[in-house]
Amino acid sequence: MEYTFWLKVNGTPGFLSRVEALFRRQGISLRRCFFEETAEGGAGRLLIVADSDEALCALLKRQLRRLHDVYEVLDAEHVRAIHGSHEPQQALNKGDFDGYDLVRQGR
Amino acid sequence: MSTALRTDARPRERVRAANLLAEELARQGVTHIFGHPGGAALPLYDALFQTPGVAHLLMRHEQSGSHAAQGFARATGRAGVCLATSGPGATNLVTGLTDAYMDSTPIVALTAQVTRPLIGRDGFQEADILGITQPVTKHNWLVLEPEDLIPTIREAFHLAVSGRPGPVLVDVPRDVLQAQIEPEEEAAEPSSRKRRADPTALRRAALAITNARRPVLYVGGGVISAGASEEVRRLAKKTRIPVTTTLMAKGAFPESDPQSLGMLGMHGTVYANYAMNESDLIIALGARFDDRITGKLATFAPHAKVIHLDVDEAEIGKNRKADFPLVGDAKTVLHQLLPLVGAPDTGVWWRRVEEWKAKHPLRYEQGDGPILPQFAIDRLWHVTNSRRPILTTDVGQHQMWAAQFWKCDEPRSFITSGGLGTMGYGLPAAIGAQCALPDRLVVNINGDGSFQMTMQALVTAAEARLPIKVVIIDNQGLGMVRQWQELFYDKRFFSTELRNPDFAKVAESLGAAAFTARRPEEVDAVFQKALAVEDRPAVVNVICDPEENCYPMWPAGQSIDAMVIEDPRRARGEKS
Repeated sequence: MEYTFWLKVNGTPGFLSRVEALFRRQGISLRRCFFEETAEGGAGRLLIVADSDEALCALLKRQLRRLHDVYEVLDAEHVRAIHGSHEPQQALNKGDFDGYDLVRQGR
Repeated sequence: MSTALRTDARPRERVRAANLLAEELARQGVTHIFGHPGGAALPLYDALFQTPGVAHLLMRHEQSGSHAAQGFARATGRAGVCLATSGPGATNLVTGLTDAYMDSTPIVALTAQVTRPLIGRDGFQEADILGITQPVTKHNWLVLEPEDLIPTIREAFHLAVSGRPGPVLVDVPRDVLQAQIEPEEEAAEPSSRKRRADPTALRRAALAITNARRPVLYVGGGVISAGASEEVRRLAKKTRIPVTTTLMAKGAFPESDPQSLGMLGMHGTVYANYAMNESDLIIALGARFDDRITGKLATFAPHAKVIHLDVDEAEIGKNRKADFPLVGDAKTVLHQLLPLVGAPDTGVWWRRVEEWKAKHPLRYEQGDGPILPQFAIDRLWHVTNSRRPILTTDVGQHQMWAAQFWKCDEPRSFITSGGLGTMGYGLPAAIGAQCALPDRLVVNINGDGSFQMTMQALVTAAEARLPIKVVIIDNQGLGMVRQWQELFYDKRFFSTELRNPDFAKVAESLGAAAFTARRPEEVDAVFQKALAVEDRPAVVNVICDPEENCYPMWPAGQSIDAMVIEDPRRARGEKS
C-alpha cells in the first residue's frame, strides 16, 4: 500500500541519503520524492511516497524521527485534516505546506 | 565547561584550526585519544604534540582504536575518542562504529580527509567516509569551512552522549586543519533536558505492576547508559519482582542479590528464561527484545503484557508489542514511576521461581581432565572479586561463559560487544577502560580466535605500561562456531580448528608478561602471578578442553521449548 511520509528536515548535504537508507534497509523503493528548501541554511520539507505496510510505516516514521537532520515527521492524517487531502500532487503545491505551517503555529 | 563570553570587539589572533581543535578536545574533557596517524591527519597530530593534558595512544590498527574508545566510554559514560587518517585509516574504524551504534556507546571518531580540492576526485587515500558511515553513526559531518570546525566538534560531543548515546564521526580535510581561523568564543553547554514519560501512561503502567501476579523486570543496557541502576534496585525492592538482565545490562542490578535471575536469552539461565516465558507482565527497561533474547517471537512470553520503557521511541513495539509504552530517560521515568507503584502479590510466583533456581542452577564439574572454561572463569572471578574488577570480554563461547559465571554487582563493570558480536573487541576495550580508570583492576577474558584478531594492541598496552590482565580461554578453535557445526551441521567440523601460535611467546615479544596453565590445579597460581604484574600487561593462556560446549542453549529462531539445558553427551555418559 502507498504511504506518504511528510518530513521537516535540515537539508544539509547527506540528509537525503540518511533518510533513503532507512527505506533501502527494508527493501522499499521510493515511488515519489520531493524536497523543497524553505529557509536559508537548508531547512526544508521532504515528501516521500513509498510502498509499505502499516506496521513498517510506523517503524519507519519512528526511525526517521531519530535522525539528526529530521526535525519533525508530520502525521499525514493531520495534513489531510487541514487540506482535505494528502494526495502528493496537492502537497507539492507550496501553498499547501505553508497552510499547514500557519495552522500548526496557531496563526 | 566555562560559559564566559568574550565582550571586547578587537580582532583576535588567528590560529591554526588543528590547534584549536586540539584545545577544544581538552576543553571537552578528553584525556585519551586512541588513534593512528597518517598524511592527512598530520596537522592534528602536530597540534596534539603541542597540547598538554590529552594523551594519545598509538594503536596498531584503527579498529582497535575504535574499540578502545568504546571501552573508555563504557567504563565512564563519557564519550571515547578515536582518531584516524583518511582512506584506509578511516574505513578501518567502520567495525568499531557499527559496534558502538548497535550497543549505544558514545564515541567521537575524528577522521582526516584529503584536501578539499581533491575530494571527489579519487585522490590518494580518499574515501567517502561520510557515505560509508552514515548507516552506523548517529550523525556524521564533513567540515568544509574552517569556521565550522569547533562548533561541529561541540555538537558532536553533545550528540554522542545525549538521548540514546551512540557514535558520531567528524571528517576534516587536511587543508581545513591547516587553515588559520579566529578562536571560537566559548559557548554555553547545550541544554540536555531528560525526557519524562506521559503521566497518564505512567499511572496505567504503575497499576499494571501493582496488579501483576507473575511480573519480571527485564533490564537492558539502556539502564546503565541512563545511570538508572539505583532506581531499578529501588523498584525491585519496593515491588519484590524478580530481575533478569541482558548481556549489556550485567551489573545494572546486583547479581549477588537473591532477586537476581542472572542473564536471560539464548545462553541465559534456565530460570530467567522460564520466568519470562510464564510471566504475566514483563517490565522492559532500556531493553530491545532482540532475537538472542526472544528466540521465536511468535511464541515468546505468550501470556505477558509488556511495559516498555525506552529513550528511543523507535524501539517501542519494534519487535514485541508494548501494552504500556513509556518513552523517556530511564532514570527520570523511574523516578516518576516509583511513588506510583504498589507491591504486587508475588508469593506464589516466587515459590515457582525458587523451584526453578534450585532445579536448574548453572553448573559444571571440573574433574582431573582438561581445564573446563567455566572452571577457569569461575576461579578468575574468585581470585579477583575482592578488587572490584572491570571485565571486558571478546566474543564467542568464553563470552557466554563469562556472562554466566562472572557475577557483576556494579554497573559499567562488564564491558562486551553485545549487538554486533565483534571478535577482537575485548583487548582494546580493556585498554580503553584501563586508561579511563587507572586505579581499577581491568581484566579481559578472551578466546584464542578472537585474541588473534587484535592481539597487536598488546604493544600499545605495554608502551603505556597498562597493567591489564588478559586471560585467553584457549580451546584451540573457534568454539562457538564449532559448537553450532556439532549441533546443527551433523559434526561436519570445517575451518574451526585453529593452529595457534605460542601465545606466551607472542605476548612476551609484544611486551607483556606471560603465563600458561595446562592443568586445573595450576589455574589459581598463574592468575595470582598475573595479578602481581603491575608495570605492564599480563597474559595468561589457559589451555582448555576443546570439546566443551556452552549450555543452556536454544537454537537460533526457536522457542524456549527447544532449550537444551545440559550437555547431552554428559547425560549419555559420553563425556566426563
